[in-house]
Amino acid sequence: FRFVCGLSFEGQVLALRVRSATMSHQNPNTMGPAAWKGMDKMNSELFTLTYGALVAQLLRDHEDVDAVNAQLDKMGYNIGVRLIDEFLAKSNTERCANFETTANLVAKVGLKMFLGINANVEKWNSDKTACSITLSDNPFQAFVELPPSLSNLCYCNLMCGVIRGALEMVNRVVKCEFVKQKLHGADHDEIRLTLEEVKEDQPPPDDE
Amino acid sequence: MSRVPERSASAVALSIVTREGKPVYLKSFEPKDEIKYHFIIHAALDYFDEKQAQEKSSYLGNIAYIEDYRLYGYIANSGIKIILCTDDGKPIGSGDRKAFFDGVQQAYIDYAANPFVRENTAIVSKTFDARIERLTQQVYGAKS
Repeated sequence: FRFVCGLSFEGQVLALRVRSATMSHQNPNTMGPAAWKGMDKMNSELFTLTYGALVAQLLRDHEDVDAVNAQLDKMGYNIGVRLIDEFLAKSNTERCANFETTANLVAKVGLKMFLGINANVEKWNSDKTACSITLSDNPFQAFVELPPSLSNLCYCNLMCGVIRGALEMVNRVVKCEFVKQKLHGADHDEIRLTLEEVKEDQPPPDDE
Repeated sequence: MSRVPERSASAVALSIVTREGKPVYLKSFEPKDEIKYHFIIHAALDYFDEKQAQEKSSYLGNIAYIEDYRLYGYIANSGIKIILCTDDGKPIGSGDRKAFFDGVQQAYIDYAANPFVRENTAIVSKTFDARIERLTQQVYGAKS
């Protein structure tokens, strides 16, 4: 099983990745900052304000806060299924042997390279299928204060959708949700990531 | 021979007014007489145009004396006006005052970056209030 991913920044070479059955020996703590260095950067305030305008517009379109939360998750999902290719291309990851490695890659490499976030993985359950990713800083929500009428709004829900979509493309079906939010008064954000299913690789559809 | 007051001036009220002249924020540092400050600051708005013609920069300096209070003005490029009202103690240095206005302007910018804030509505925000109080403490000492 091979999958082709990404173009190098010279734009000419396609990188081929081969499935490896060996245990990964990559260190997410160094891979994160290394991948971050290679990414194009944009103005963080522009990013924050654009996301804010997006959420505000969604609130105007859908009257209901739960509908907006669901919509943010769906948009994130659509982003995630595409973002996984860029992640795999730019971060030089090998195949993960277990979910613990996967979660560490999401938190230390994924969040770092795309958002510059320094996250930690903790609170594992006993069979290592669920953990919490804690973030102390989050570029989506700078300057934001939720008015009391929107106290159920999960402002950064887009992130959960992205993680869910990206992992689904590598055959890990997960549940991803915010259990603590700074905008709701907590002192940090916490995303609970739960592995629900590992799908089998599907053969490509027959061309008949 | 007049006696110069030794006590340093303290801030009495701070107001932010939109380009159209609508007050969106008024903080008084003296709990009594809030209505009085509304009137005083409203009166000060008249002096803005005159001073703006003289001063090219955002900081307009001392714009008026009304009823034993000194009023200082600042107009941002976006058109919002910040008015500070102090009592008649010894004035602090104008450099410090300029820095104070810059601080208020910065607090306003951070407040306005909140996507849930609608333009030209009253400013209701605990973080904004806290920042203004801290800034006033730093620059004008005591009261809040």
